[in-house]
Amino acid sequence: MILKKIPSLLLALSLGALLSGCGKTEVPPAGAGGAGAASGKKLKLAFVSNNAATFWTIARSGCESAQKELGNVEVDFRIPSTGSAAEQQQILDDLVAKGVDGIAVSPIDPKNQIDFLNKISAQTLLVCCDSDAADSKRVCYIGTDNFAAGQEAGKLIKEALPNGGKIMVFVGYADAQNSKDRFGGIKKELEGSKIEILDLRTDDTDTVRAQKNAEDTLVKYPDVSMLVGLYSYNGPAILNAVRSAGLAGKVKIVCFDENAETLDGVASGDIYGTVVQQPFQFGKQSITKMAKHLSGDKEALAGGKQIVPTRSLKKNDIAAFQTDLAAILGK
Amino acid sequence: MKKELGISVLLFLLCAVTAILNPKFLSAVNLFNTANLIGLYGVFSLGLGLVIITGGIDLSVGSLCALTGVLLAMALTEWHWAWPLAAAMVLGISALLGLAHGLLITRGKLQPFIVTLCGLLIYRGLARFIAGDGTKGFSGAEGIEPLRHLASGKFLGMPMPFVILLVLAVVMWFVLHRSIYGRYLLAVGRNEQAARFSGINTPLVVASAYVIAALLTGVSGILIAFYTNSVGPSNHGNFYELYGIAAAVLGGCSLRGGEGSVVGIVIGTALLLVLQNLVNLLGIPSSLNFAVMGAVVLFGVLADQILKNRAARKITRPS
Amino acid sequence: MRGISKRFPGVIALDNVSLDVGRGEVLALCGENGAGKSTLMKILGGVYQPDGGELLLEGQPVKIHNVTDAMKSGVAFIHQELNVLDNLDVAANVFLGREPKNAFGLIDNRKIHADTAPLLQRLGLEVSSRTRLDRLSIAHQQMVEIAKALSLHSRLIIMDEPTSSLTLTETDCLLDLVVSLRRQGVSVVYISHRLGEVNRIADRVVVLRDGKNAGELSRSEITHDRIVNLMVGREIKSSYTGSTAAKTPGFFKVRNARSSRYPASTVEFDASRGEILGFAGLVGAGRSEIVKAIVGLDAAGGAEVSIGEDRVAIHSPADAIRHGIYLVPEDRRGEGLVTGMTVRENTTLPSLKKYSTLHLIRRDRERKVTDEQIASLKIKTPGGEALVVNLSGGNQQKVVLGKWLSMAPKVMILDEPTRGIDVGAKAEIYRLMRELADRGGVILMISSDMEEVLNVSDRVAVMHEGKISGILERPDCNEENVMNLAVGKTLAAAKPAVKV
Repeated sequence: MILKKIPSLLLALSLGALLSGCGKTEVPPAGAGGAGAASGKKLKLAFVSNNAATFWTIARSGCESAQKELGNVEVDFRIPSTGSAAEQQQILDDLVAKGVDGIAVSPIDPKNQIDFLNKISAQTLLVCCDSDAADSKRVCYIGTDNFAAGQEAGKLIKEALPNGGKIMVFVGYADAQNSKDRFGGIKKELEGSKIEILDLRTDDTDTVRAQKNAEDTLVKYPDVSMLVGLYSYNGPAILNAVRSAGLAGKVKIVCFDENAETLDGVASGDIYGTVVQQPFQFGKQSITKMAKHLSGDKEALAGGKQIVPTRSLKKNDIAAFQTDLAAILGK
Repeated sequence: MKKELGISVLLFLLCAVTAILNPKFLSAVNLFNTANLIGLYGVFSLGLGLVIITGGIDLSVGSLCALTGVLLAMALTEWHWAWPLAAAMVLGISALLGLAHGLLITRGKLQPFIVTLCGLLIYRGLARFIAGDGTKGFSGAEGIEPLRHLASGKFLGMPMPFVILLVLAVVMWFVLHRSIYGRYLLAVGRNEQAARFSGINTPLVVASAYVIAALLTGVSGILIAFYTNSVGPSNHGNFYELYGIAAAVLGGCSLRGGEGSVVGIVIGTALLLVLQNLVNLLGIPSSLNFAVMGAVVLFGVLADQILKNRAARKITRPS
Repeated sequence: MRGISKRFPGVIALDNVSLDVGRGEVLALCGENGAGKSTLMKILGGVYQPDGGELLLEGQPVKIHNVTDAMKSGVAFIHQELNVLDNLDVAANVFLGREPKNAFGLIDNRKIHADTAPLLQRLGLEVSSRTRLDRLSIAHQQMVEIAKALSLHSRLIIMDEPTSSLTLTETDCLLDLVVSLRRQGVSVVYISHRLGEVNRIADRVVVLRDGKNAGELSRSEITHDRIVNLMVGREIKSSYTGSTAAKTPGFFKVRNARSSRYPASTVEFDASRGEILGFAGLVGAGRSEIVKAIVGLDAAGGAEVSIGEDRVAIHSPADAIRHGIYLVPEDRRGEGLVTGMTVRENTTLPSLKKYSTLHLIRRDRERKVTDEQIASLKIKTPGGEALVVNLSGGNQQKVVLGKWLSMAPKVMILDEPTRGIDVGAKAEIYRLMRELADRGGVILMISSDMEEVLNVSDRVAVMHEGKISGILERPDCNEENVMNLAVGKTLAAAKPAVKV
C-alpha cells in the first residue's frame, strides 16, 4: 500500500512546488519596479536577441550605454545560439525563473510564439524589440518598421534604376516575419514602376549558398540589373558574386544592414546603397524606457509601438557612419 | 573503377539535362563558379571520406570551418599577424583538434559519432565566443593578398579552390590507392581485428585519418572564409559535415567502412554542387533545394545497391 | 527426398540425389565441403527450391516453399553458427517469434516459462528458463536451440556441424542428447566432418560426393576408413607419418606466458625447429589465449620469448611479426583475413614494405608473390584479384598460410587450422605444415580435433584450465593419454612442461 501511494505523493509535492513557484514569480512585476527603485536596489533587465550577429553586438553596446547612464540597472544580454524559437523560449523561461524585472526580446517566430509571450508578459514586463509580436500582450514594440524599411530600400532601387529593369531578391528564410515585411515594402514601393522582380531566392542563412545563389542568378539572367539582399550577410555575398563575375558597377546592389564588407562596398560604389537600422538605439531605448516604466513613468512605453527610423546609406554617408560605428563598438 | 562509373554516368546525365534545359549551364562563368564551389566542398569531403573509410565519422566539419574562419579573420585583421603565420596557426589548430578526436576514439575507446558530435558543439561555441558573436571579415587586413590569391585567385583560368582540390585529390589518390598507409586504411576499415593480427598499428592508422580529415577541413575553412569574405560564427559552415557525408556516400564510401575511392568522393561532391546549380538555373523554388539533394543522394545510393546485389548474385555459388 | 536436383549458375550443386530418413533414425550425412550436403539440407529446410525431384513426408508429397513451411512440416535446422539472442533469457529464445500473449496483449511470460521448463528437462539441461543466454556455454546455447526445435514439435532435426565449437565433454553431452532424441522418436540428420562422432551415433551414413549419392553404409558397416573412402573416392593415409627433420630442442622458448583469462597461471614450454608441437585440451583451457599473449595480442598478458639465443621483446603483433613469429588465428574470417579484399591484398598485408618503394606499393611485385603462393599452395581461385570472401574455407585458410609463408616464418602458430575445411584441403594443409617444419620452422598447432592432434603432432602439449598439464612424446601420444591430461589428471608418461 505504501508503495502504491508514492507516485501520488510525489505528484502532490511537485504540484505544490510548481504552484508556489508560480506564486513567487507572479508577484514582482506590479510592485517590484517601484519598490526596487525606492529601496535603491538595482533593476534587473534582460535583452534577448534572435541570433548571433554584429547587429546584436551593436545593440548590446546600446544596452551597456543605457546601463552606464542609468546607474541603477543591471542588463543581462542573451543570444540564442542556434537561432531557434525553442531555444529562445528556454532562455526567456530561465530569465523569468531568475526573477528579472523586464525583458526586451526579438521574437524569432512571433506568430507562433504569441501564447508563450503572453505567458511571459504575465510574469514580468515584456517589450518586443527589432521584430514585433503585435497580437501578444507585450507592452510595447521598439524597433524598425520593416515594411517601412522595405519601402526605403524600394526608393533606393528606383533611384538606382531610373529606367527600370529586372531585379532578383535574396534572403535567408522567406517565411520569417522581417523578410516578409521587407519584401512586402519593396514590392509596394515598386508598384507601378518599370522594375520587375524576378524571384526571391533563399539560402537558409548559409553564406556560401547565398553567394552561389547570386552567382547562379548572374548566369541565368544575364540581363539582370540589380541584386537585392534582405539579410545582413546577403550584401557581402552579392558583392563577392558581382565582383568575381566582373560586373561590379554594371549590376547594381541594394542591401540591408551595416556589415563591414557591405560598408566597404558602398564606399567603393559597388553597392548603390544599404538600408541600416539603428541597433544601438534598439538596445539603448529598450533598456532606458523599461527602466523608466518600472520607476513609474508609464509614458515611457506608451502607444504600443515606438519606431526607430531606418536610414539609407550611400557612398557619401559612409565615412561619417563608420566613425560613429567605431566609437560605438569601442574600437 | 566500376563503382565510379555509375555515379559518373549520373553526373553526366544531370549535366546534360541541365545544359539542354538551360544552355547557360555550360557558359564559362557558370562552369567557373561551379568548379570553385566543388573545390571548396571537395577538400573537406576528401578528409571526411577518409574517416568514413576507417568506419568512423566526423561530424565536426562545419563547426571546425567556422572556428578556423573566425580565427583566420581575427588573426589577420585584429591581431595583425603575417598571413603565413595565421594560416599555419589555423592548420595547426585543426590538426591538433583532429589528433584529439583520433586519440579519444582510439585510446579513449569512445565512439567516433559521439566524439565528433561533441566537437561540433564545442567548436561552434568556441567560434562564437572568440568572435564575440560578431561577423568577422577581412577588410582592413594588410598584406594578405598572397593568401587571398592562393585561396580565391585563378590558376590557368581555373578557380584556385578547384586547382587545390585537384592537387589534393591526386595526392590523396596516391595515398589511398597506392601507398602502404592507404592499404592499411582500407584493411582497418574492413576488418580492424584482421588488420591488427597482421601486425598493423591500427590505432595509429585510425587516429591519423582524423588528423588528415581535420587538416583538410582547416584548408577548406581558409578557402571558404576567403570565398564568403565574412564569417558569421553562428551559421558559417552549418551542415557541411552532412554535405561531405552525402558526397562521400554518393561516391561509393560505405559507412560500414573499408570502401571508397578518391575519384568517387570528388565526383560525389561535383554531383551535389551541380544539383545546387541546377536548382537555381532551372528556377526550381529554393525551398525544394534540400529535397532535390536528398532525392538524388537516395537515388544514387539505391542504384548502387541494386547494381551491387546483382553483381553479388552473379558471384554467389553454393557451398 | 527423391531425385533432387539443384543448379546454380555454372554449377550443378545436386544431381538426382535421394535421401530417406526413418522415424527415430540418426542419419549421418557426410561428404567434403562442396559435396552438396548444405544445399540438400537447405532444400529440406525450405531455404532453396529444388529444380527437380520431390519431397515426401510419410509417403505424401509435400511442397516446402519457405522456412515456415519447413517448420510446419516438422523440420528444424540447427546451424553451425548459433542463432540465438544472447541478451534474452532461455524461454524468450525458445518462444521467439511466436510469443503467446496474455489478456493485455503483452507477452505471457508465465506461460512461456511454464512451457519451457519441461523441454529443458527432456533435454537434460539443468538451467533455469530465466537464465540469460550470454551466461550459458556455447553447448548449452545450442541445446536451447534444440529445445526450440522440440517446442515446434519437430520430427526431424538437421544438425550442421553441431560440435565444431564444443569442448570434448560438451560434445559427449550433445551426442548423448542425439541418442535420447532418437529414443523419443525424433529423427536426426547429422552433418559432421568428425568421423569419430559419426561412428558413435549414426544408424546409417549417407555420403555425397560432387552433388551425387556416393554410397551408403549401414550401422554395421560404418568404419572410419570406409566413410573416408566414399567421401574422397581415394585412399587417404590417416596416420602419423613421422618426421625426419633435424631437431634443435629449445630453439623456441616460452616462459611466464600469462593470459588475461587465467591471470594466475603461467605457461612455459620449449619447441624445436623441425617440430610440430600440438596443443590439445578442452575448449576454454586457455590455449588460444596463451598464443595470443605470446604474439602480443593480450595487453594484460604477455610472455618471455626467446628464439635461438636471443630474447625477443613482444608488445604487439607487429613485434612478433618482426621476429618471424606468425599466428594463423582460429577465426579465419574475423581475424585471419580481410575477406572484402582480394587474395593479393591479403597476401601482402603484413609485408607491404617489402613490395613498395618510398611507401608506394608496387603492384607488379605484389602480383608476383601472390601468384607464387597461389601456385605453391594450389589455392583454387580465379586469380589474385578475386575477393577472398568468394573462396571456399580451405582456400581461404591457404591464403592465410600463404601470407605468412611468403615471409619466411621462424615460428608459425596455427589455431584450429582446419576447422570447417574439407578432408582434401585438410591433408594439404597438414602437408604444408610438415614441409615448413622440415625446412626448419617451429610449428605450434592448437586443435580440438583429436584425430588431427594425434595424426599431425610430433609432440602434444595438453592444457587444462590455463596450465600445461603435460607434454606427451610421440610414443605416448594416444587418445586416452590426451583425454586424461585434458581433464586435469597427471600421468607418469607425460613429461613436465619444461625439461629440467
